[in-house]
Amino acid sequence: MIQPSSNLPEREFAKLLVQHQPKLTLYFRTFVFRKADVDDLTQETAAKAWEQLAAYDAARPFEPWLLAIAKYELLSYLRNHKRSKLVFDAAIVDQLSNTLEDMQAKQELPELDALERCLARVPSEDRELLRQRFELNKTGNAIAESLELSSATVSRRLQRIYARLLICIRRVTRGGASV
Amino acid sequence: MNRQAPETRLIELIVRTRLDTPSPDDVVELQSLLQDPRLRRLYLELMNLQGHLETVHTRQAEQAGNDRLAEVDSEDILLALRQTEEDAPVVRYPKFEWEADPSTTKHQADGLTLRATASAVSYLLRSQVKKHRVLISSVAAVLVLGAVLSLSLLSGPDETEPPPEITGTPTTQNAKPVVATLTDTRNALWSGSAEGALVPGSLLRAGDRFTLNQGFATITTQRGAIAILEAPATIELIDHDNALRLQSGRLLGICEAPSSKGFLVRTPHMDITDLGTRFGVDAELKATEVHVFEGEVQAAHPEALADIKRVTLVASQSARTSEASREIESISHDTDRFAAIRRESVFGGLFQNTVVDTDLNGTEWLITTSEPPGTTTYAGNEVTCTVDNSGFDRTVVGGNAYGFVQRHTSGAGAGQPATATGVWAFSNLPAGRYDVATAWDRSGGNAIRYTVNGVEVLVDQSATPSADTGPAFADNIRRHSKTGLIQFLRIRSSVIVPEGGAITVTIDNSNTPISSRSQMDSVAVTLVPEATQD
Repeated sequence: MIQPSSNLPEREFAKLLVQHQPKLTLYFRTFVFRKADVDDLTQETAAKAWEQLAAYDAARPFEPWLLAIAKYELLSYLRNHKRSKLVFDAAIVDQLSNTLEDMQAKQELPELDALERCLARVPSEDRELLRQRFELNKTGNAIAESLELSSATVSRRLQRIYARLLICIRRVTRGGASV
Repeated sequence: MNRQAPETRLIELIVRTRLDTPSPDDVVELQSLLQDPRLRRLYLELMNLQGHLETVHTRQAEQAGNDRLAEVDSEDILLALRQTEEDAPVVRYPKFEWEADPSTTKHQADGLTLRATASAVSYLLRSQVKKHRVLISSVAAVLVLGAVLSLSLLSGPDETEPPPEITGTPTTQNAKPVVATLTDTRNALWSGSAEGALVPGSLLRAGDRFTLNQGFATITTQRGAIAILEAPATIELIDHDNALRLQSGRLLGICEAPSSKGFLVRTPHMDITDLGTRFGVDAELKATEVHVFEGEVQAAHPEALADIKRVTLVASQSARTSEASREIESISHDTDRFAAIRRESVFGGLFQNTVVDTDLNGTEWLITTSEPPGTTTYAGNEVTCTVDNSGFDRTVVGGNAYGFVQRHTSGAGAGQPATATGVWAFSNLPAGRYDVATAWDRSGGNAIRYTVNGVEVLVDQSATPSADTGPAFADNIRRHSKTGLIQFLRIRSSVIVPEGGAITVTIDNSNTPISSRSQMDSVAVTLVPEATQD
């Protein structure tokens, strides 16, 4: 039987890992195209973090620590897939990483709440499209089929939704003084 | 080669490469775009957005599950993790696919909780499995997941935690049902029963009544009809998922979502039922007017008046009812009165004032411009470009003015009503005769419908204009992809304009086959020198 007193840090740690899973996935998704690879990297990072639990200093913020492990995993993935045509060059990943760190430091990447405010404005048809894409995880063709649209339309509409959400998020995060 | 603005192309590639399997060419192109530091930032912003979109779609589950996760689920996870360290046979986890639609019942919502939790567990588990090359017994797996499942389901409906109301689902717990959402406001000042709580995202309930004293506000009904109010206006929400009462003031109704068909606007003098359209309503003290801009509406006396008549109005038709008369009178169509509110419907509060946000450059929907304050350009479903010549030396050069919209749209089908319109309005012009010309940079249909001050002109866009077809202007059709002289095609000559007058040019896709495009790029008006008029 597990003793409550001894497993508390581990339990906290497991909780933190679970909470950070979306961020981890988001991180890998930024650099890696294949969803299966993104999932593997996320898992691998979780495993590494678990192994290094003893090395984690609870006084330090968890996220940067986890992302450092993630970066290490990413670089080793890129080395192993160097010859694949569906993987970014290390040079681009490096530049993107630097930009990402800069933007994170300046808090230029909005948190979830900004998006939520903007989603309220998304028309119901577009919401359905987002649901098909992100909740049901459908491919472009599958979405096109179920909404009776062409794949090109699905893609264009998603592009438009992205652009509009992006504008709205920028507006919201810049203070939205006159809202 | 691709001639889209790089930002547009970037969004397209992001959507495509994550929606389906990317091609090596996509990756190469993406990498070359990402050489630009500005595009790298945009890319990261978009990926952040995309990640959040993913999260939002399972957030409901996480929200419900997080606290339990803290107390219970992490125990299970831990148990599972520990389990992997012992040697047990492996099990492949089935992928959990829970249907979640907006009308999810509590049980289905719990299913979602389960999915999130189970996938988190399986992430950790599978990683451990791989790591240690050990196998978890299927019994242990079933136990873990079973525990999560039963805990989620047994906890039952959570009374203290109302379901997230992002879609404004009416809740039976509330005496007054939610019937609409305040989806946007701009410079809004309110008074009335809902005072203080009226911010974008506010849920509106039957019986709420308020006055918009300043600014604009957008209300979306439960069925997706949109009403944009222009101050001063007083409205009341009634117990109906697709209706509202306009006591007084001006409103623009938009019914684009199929579910919103049948949207009812009730004024003291008229019931207006929307049949899929855009229309303006102006309710005054003793009379109400309706002006239809697109599609069809039905207008009727409210039931309080015995003599119920219904009149169907189509685009460009207008009607009026009054306290004094039971007739529905036909009146002249008035677009000017709704100009501000229609512009609002296009800008949609995207811009807080008339300064175009220049760092939003380059998408097909946003205008690349660094015009001085006062110029407003935005393209959405409806495209509007307003160029006022007073004081803008970039838009008025020696008596020339040009405006740009920059959008292309697929045809609505020959003979079909337009689904996209671009408007260039050149106002406050010096008196004189003007030539009107247009430019586009990719081929479109061969009989694109334009109007110049109301006169229809069909323009062949199958080839771009050449040197002898009209004037040319330097740069700024597409700041990122076009520089140098842009050749225009003259579509009307010597339009006479009085001092301070206006030229309004429109383009739409009503005469464009579905397979073709209307290119809505740029229009110029050129003052014809007096010497050449003789």
